[in-house]
Amino acid sequence: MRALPRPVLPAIYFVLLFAVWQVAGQALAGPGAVLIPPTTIIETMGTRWYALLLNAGITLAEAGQGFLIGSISAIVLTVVVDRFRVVGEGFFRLALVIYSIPVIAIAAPLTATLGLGTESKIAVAALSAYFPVLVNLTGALRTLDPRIDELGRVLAMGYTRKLVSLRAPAVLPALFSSFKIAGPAAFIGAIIAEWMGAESGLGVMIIQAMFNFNVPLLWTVLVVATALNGLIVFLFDVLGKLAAPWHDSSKAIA
Amino acid sequence: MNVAEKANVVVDGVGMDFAVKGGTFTALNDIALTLPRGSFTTLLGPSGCGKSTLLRIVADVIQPTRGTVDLFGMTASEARMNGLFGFVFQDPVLLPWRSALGNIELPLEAQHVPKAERRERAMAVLELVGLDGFEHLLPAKLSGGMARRVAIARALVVEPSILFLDEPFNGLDELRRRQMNVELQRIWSATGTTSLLVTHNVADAVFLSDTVIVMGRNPGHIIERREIDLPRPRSIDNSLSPDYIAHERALTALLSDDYKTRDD
Repeated sequence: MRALPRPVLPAIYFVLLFAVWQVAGQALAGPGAVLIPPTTIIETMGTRWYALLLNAGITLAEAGQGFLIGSISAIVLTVVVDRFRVVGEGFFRLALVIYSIPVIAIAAPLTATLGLGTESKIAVAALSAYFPVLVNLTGALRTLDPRIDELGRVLAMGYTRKLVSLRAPAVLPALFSSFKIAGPAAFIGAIIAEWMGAESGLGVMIIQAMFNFNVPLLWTVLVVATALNGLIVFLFDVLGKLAAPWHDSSKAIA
Repeated sequence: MNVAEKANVVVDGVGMDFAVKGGTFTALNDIALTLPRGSFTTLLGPSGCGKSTLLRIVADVIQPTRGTVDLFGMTASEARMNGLFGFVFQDPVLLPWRSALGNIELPLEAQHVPKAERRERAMAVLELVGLDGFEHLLPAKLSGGMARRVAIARALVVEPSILFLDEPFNGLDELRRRQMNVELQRIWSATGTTSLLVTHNVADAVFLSDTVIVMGRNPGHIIERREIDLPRPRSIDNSLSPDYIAHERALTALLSDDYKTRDD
């Protein structure tokens, strides 16, 4: 049998999933139904598109700012850890401890401290985003081909020159892989922070739909949030390929 | 003029110990050698004889436990910081995000050479190693032989006072390796750069060297120094002649003795 093109099989599974979902959703239809068929979700999207767009935009803006703050801090911290091993190791442990606090547990006190505005959401998003970047980037720098260091040494390069010319470009693919984790993490962090109290955002929509027993809207927000998450991953995948086009065609160091 | 004044590189009493579980492992002991200016010297020995370690000590990549290295009246560290070294690794170790030309320009960037001059000098070396026309290719698009030429060009672009070659043609097929030897000899003759090669290949050592230093193991030491008095330029055809074979036979015998006495 001839092999199918790569995207065909997943596409078939998706169509099957939606078909089963639709049939089951219609069979269980009625007041208080928990499984909402895709057609109803699309319908809800049509009627509530403005609220969805507005709230998604607000949550994305919070997540985006949090992501920027989180990943930039992580990159700075990575360089500090790398440059000053002894001092850096302490920072690294501290970062590990902070990340061990569940997002949902830290979201509450942060909201209490920073208020119901966007600041608390940005803070939670930043806290969710920094860790994947820190760990992946630190790991990538530590596991670089040791001959890269030898090359830098033979060429009498200083720390900064070696970092800029040799090591940073070599870990660019790892950085974008970490963004593929940190991006959705920031997005989910923002939604969780919105649950703790906010005026708008996808998280607020979820809470309101829950309290009003508006199950179709609940599902619709869920689908929108999932789609946005996928879009974030896709965006960083594309950006990563643009930033390091050589990566797929060869090893990190030829 | 005595020999010491003419000498480029003098290694004296060098030893290297590594800490291992339950004590120290002596990788090199009591190494003394002199590389005359402009000569091609090869460190020949089996795996584990410390020849790569010795090369790295002379190139100031690692520091010896004992002994001194003098390069042109400088310490190894001073010579390295002055940008006098060219180093060719076992694998090309090219930066995959830079073109062939970009890779060759790298050492000049480290030395803060202006852009226009960088380009000009890199193109000149590129031509020397026979890669003109391929300057814009990324390493992934280069063949094994081409990638090694780029690595050699990158080492030569700084016009080094000494060229270190750590098994530079490892992994190339037999014929390609012989061709690269011819190329390397041509480049060496054209530049006159003092060169130190590390290899376990007897034929390469004979073909390329003025002097072969045979090394043995446990701990790494120098067994014998052998002058290769064959006329240059040497060619692949000549390399199958009795003169070459005689040298190869003598070197192989020295290496075999070391295996017999040390591998109980």
